[in-house]
Amino acid sequence: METAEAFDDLFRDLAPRLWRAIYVYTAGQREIADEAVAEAFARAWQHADSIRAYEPYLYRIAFRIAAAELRRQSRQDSPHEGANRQPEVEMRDLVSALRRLSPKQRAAIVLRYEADLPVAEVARRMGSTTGAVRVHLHMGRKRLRALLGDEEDEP
Amino acid sequence: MTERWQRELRKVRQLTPSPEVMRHSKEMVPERPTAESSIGRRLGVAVVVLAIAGASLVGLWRAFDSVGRPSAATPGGPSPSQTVTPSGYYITFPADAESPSGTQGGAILHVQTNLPDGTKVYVSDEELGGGGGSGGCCSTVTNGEILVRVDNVSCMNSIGQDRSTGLRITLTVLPDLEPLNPECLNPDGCPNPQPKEVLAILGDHFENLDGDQVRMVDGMRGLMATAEFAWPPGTCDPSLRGDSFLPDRCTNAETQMSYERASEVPGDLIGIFDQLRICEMWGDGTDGFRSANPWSDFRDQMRSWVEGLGPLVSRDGNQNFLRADIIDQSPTTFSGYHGIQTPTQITARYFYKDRAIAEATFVASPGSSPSVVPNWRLSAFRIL
Repeated sequence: METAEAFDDLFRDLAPRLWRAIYVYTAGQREIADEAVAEAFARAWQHADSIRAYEPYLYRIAFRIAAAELRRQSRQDSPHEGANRQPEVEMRDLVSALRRLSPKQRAAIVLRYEADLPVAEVARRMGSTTGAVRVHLHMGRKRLRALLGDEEDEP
Repeated sequence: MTERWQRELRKVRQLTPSPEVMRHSKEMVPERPTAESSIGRRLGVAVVVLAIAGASLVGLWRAFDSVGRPSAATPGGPSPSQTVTPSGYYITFPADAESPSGTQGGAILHVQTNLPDGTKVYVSDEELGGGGGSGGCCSTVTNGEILVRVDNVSCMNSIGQDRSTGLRITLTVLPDLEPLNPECLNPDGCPNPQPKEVLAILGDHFENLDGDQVRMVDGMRGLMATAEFAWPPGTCDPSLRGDSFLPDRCTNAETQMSYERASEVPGDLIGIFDQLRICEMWGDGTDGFRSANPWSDFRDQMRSWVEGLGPLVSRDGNQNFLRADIIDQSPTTFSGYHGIQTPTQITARYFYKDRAIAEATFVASPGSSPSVVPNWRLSAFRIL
């Protein structure tokens, strides 16, 4: 397998999930998701010889880049500058709700429910404890339920 | 039944990064690595490993009659290092792990230490014989005690797969825990450096730290202690399964089948059977399916059927005894993600050790745009 092909395979396998995770984590800021994923894969490519497990590495790098951008935005006079950009029509309600969650709640929600990671793995990636993650998940779900309504599909 | 926030979150699965992201990523690398064969192999292996890891992460469930009891190979108590009274600063483990009150499937340890109160301790755990493990930053020394809580992830192992036989805990104290906690995603920053009050006692570089457990870790002077334990009685309590996958009311179907290729869809049910995630299976059903199969009856029937099949995976978890073949598909197709022509409906037959055991029909919905990965629903399931 050629290096470029292997890289492309890895990108196709992981990038969509990682991108969606960052999209939710940043509450619908596509530009940050694009940049974070692109840079994470670029770094992975550069350091391929020293990376033991690509998925945690890519998540770590991409989330860090996104977290740094969120921190930078929070220091601006008009915080959440990306929030002014309109998300896709079908995502408006969700993005609007996500912006009212804390970054920790968003990180826990997206890793658990979008990336389908077990709580223990979510805790490991967040540098937190399973107990704390469960609290973030509980609060995040409660908030989303309140913001988006609690109606359920009929059985 | 799913709540609206779950349905809204699922919409995210329809989104994909633009192709420009990959091009942009490549532009960021000035020169490609030259050792193509080596790196290519590594990346290729990585894809396979990730796939396997993903499957194993799903974890699974099993027979609760024998769980929680240490096998002959289970650590019977503290390792020899625990019984030695260390000099200088120390961490001493208890003789046994306790079962956390109010929860199941884990362990709790009351660890004694003479490190200063407020010292942050990195906790890593490894499931013996189970392959799992995790790490977390940080527990804090309070009144001479470090409280450690650990989940037994192997409680979720596949039906037939061996469970973890015990637990190995490693506690590490460094002036700065960054090397052990590189994956911290906390946007508010990560609590890696020790508090000033602690550094004032132990020294900025822990130069005042002494004792038998002092080690050099990633170039830093620190303290490290390890011990092994049997899981406490009651770990992997059967109630865990009920709460997670076989609840009285199925309202937490958290996933749905989102696959680019129709051929990938039937495998979803194999993972569900392996772990008895029946609520998820029911949640993946169409409205018509769920109406025709009321939850409680469906749950009981499926549980009885799955548990009656026998071990679904080998003891090491590497071989799955279930497989699925697509036996029919609709002539009509739609253009899905990457423009792949995909049938709108498929029927798969499931085999257990080559014996046909069930058939399932899946329908794609809506799946009409080249940029959308189609979602699939279970519309019929028949036990043979």
